[in-house]
Amino acid sequence: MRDAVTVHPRTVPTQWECTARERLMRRDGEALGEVYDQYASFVYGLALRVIGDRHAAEDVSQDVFIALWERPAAFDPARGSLRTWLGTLAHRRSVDWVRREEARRRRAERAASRGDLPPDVEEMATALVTAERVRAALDLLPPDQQSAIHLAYFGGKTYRQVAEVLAIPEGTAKSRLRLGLRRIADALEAQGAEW
Amino acid sequence: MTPQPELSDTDVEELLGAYALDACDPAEAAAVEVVLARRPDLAAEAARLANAAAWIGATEALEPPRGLRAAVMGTTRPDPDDPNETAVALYRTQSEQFEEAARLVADAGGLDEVTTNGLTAYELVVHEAAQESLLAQAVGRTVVPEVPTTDIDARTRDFVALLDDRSLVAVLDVWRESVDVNCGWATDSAEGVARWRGLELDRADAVVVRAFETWIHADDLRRVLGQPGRPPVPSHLALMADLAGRSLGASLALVGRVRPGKTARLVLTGDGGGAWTVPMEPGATAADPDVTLTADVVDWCLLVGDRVSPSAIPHRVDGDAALAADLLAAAPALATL
Repeated sequence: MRDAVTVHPRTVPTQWECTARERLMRRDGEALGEVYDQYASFVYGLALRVIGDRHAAEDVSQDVFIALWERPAAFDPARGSLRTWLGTLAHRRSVDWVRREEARRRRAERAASRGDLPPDVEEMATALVTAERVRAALDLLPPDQQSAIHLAYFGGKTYRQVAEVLAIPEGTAKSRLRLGLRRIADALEAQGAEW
Repeated sequence: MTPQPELSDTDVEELLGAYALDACDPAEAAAVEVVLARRPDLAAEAARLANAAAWIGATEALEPPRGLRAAVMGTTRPDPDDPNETAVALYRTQSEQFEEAARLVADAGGLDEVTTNGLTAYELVVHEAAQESLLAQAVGRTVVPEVPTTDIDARTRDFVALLDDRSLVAVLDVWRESVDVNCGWATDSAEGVARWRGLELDRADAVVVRAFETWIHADDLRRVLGQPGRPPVPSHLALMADLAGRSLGASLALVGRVRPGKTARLVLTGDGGGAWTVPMEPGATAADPDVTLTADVVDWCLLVGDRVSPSAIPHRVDGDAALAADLLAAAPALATL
């Protein structure tokens, strides 16, 4: 499992992120509460979407916030937003969970196809405002890029598995993922989304 | 384990989308990171794509289950050897379990059921909100509703009157705000003592008192549900037992059973137990015990919480039986403050 989140150069960090990190470093538990309040629905929703199991999504979400609590220094505001940091970790751990489960299931062989586990999301759904823009950007992607991204991001598939599922060459899968993501990044930037 | 492949810069460039989406296998991802470390332009592109990926995740934002916050916050223990942090962890844990029990009672339609202490389940939650906010006020914090009454029965009545039309969830919100405030106070190294309910307690002891009562009332709610009591884990029980042992002298004074010149030894058995030698007069010095009372730690804590009667707990007395009777009679004194 890759726990370390790679950090990348980025734009100017927000004061809020810098202060939050500083307080976390001082072991200020309330700072974690504030970060939690800000990002819990993002982290949990993402984990649930990828995993499809409420308990596991809760566990992953808890792990993500505890990881930040235990090692706040790993988040460097100068190199990426807290949203990206938490989202990357949440996604990575969710995907790890899904792949572990898949491996376990394969080992335990066939078993009846479990089908999708769509959680009852409607009544709980509270989409973030910005998410609407991203959803719109996703909807505008060519369908082949859309399905590749969905399979990889929400389905936890590797690009090789994406290629297999879509019956396309691996190189095509790689480029669809990259082009699709680029378009979303472009759309976010065109609309002035904050990092 | 898959060996890490060597990737050219062009390979990595092609893989950036997959990498940002966690769609590379771990060995390949590690190989990508090697290249990113020396190619800031590619690293910047990877960052840009990772940001886009995170926003895709935001399209799925969902209100998390309520207990998740408490679970996360309950783990914010920087130092397990710090008594304040350990006490707060106990308090958080008991608070979380109290809330869970309250919600189960509500789901079962049992909020009007009368609990062991005579209040309905709903009123018991209001009572806890009143109690928590009393500590918050005592340590100089402002919480809503602001109610000046300090006598706990009258305060509970005031809270019931104020919150009467609120849903259980709304009452729990009020309650939780004070719990959070108290936890914040207890972990803030700048302040020391709580003076409330006739007691003067340091931060750790103050929140252990709250945790103790929260546990007792969570058990009251479980009883409404027909569930058995749920003692705290031994490491947490030990904090309660220790407080109970150390406060025996004060309890004797509260019930008018001070015995000058006498010393008692309390031995609590089971995980989380311990032994305390205490003078039977506050402020005196302990000497060789005139009586040793041995009981189970959970039984004793339930006695201190006024949920079993002195005659109902199995115990052994070595020494002066009259002094042992004093100890048993005094144990619940703090619960009825």
